[in-house]
Parts: sequence; C-alpha cells; structure tokens
Amino acid sequence: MSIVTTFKVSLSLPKKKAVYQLNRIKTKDYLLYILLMHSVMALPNGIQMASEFIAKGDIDKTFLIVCTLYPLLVILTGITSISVLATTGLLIRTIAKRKLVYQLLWKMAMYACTYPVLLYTTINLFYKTNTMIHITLVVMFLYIFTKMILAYPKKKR
Amino acid sequence: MAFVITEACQDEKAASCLDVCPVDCIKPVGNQYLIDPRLCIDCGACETVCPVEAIYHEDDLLEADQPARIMAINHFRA
Repeated sequence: MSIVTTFKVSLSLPKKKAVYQLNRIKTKDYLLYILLMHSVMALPNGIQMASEFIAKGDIDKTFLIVCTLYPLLVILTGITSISVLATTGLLIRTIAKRKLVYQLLWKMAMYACTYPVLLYTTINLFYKTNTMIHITLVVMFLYIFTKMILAYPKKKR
Repeated sequence: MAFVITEACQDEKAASCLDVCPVDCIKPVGNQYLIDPRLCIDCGACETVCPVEAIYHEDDLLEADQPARIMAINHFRA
C-alpha cells in the first residue's frame, strides 16, 4: 500500500474496514508514514524558524538547527508522544475487554493521530495554538482511538 | 474470507501471530500453526508480524499455497 493510499485510508478512520486495512501496512511503509506525519506537523514552525535565522543572516544556524536538530527533536518527541498515547490504549482495551497487544495499539495510535495532526498543522499555520486547542485535539484522538479499539470483537471468556 | 498460514511456517512456529491475534483463531497443528477460518475476522494483524512471511489473505494466495487453505478448512471443519 503506498503512502498516499495509507493516508486516504487513515482519513476513513475509525471505520472498521479502514482499521483492518491499516493493519496490513508493511513496516517500511509504516515508518515512512510516521516520518510524513512528523514532517507535516513540524513544517510551519520549521519554516518560521528558518526564515527568522535567514533574516538575521545566520545561515549556519539555519542548517544546523532547522535542518538537523529540529527534525530529530520532532521525531523523538513525536515517537515518545505516540508511545504515551498508545499506553492509554492499554487502559481502553482492558475496560473494553479486547485482546490487543501494545505493538498493535502503537500502530493504531499513529494512524489515529492523522486527523489531529492535520488539524493542528492547519490551525498552527494561521493562529497561535493554545491549551484549549491542544485539549480538543487530544480528545479527538481519544475518540478515534477508542472507536478503533471497539472495532475489534470482545475477548472470549 | 480469512487469512491463511502457508507452509513457510512449518518447523518455524515463531508464534508472533498468536500474540497479536485479537480473536485467538490461530492454533498449533502438527509442525505449524493454522488459522481457523470460521473465527478469523480478517483484521490482518497477523500478516505483518510473521517473521517468515508465511501469512497471506486467501485472495492473495498463489496456486502453490492453496493446499494450505484447504488444510485449514478441513482441519477446523472436523
């Protein structure tokens, strides 16, 4: 499944068919998708930082910070955040009596972030984000993630 | 519709699929695992975790792997 198809299917979440289709993504394509999401999220701030440095004439800083340190920081923060968000899935799956391993929950958490990331990026382009927006996006993520978990049948006794 | 474990699993039995299957439809049969097609919900969780790429959806099976599908059907029908 290509990145574009993966993205289109992610937009269909939390439908059951989309949840099951996304399970079949190969690890290589999945990692590419993670990079894409992080790039989308980091782009507005990255461009703003680069333009500020370039305006001051700090080309070296632009390269060092914007092209190397900042992307690494975004990816590290992003993966850590997904890991924390996926942990909420452990609680949700226990309450909902579903058998879903952390590995699967991690992948699902990444796909559940598609809409929140897109919204965050769009809002960040035009306005400064605040706590209320962040909370709304987290609630949106939890809603999508919970529906994805509930797409699976309950555990047999 | 269901996923099928092919002969690549024979004598490997890595069992990664067992951990991820949400409906526990994967059972040990002889020297490999088989998916119970009556229980499989087509979620695809098992396909990507198999280290020997032994698991395919039945629509994607090659002709040479059709016996694996028939073996699973016959075993769990019994």
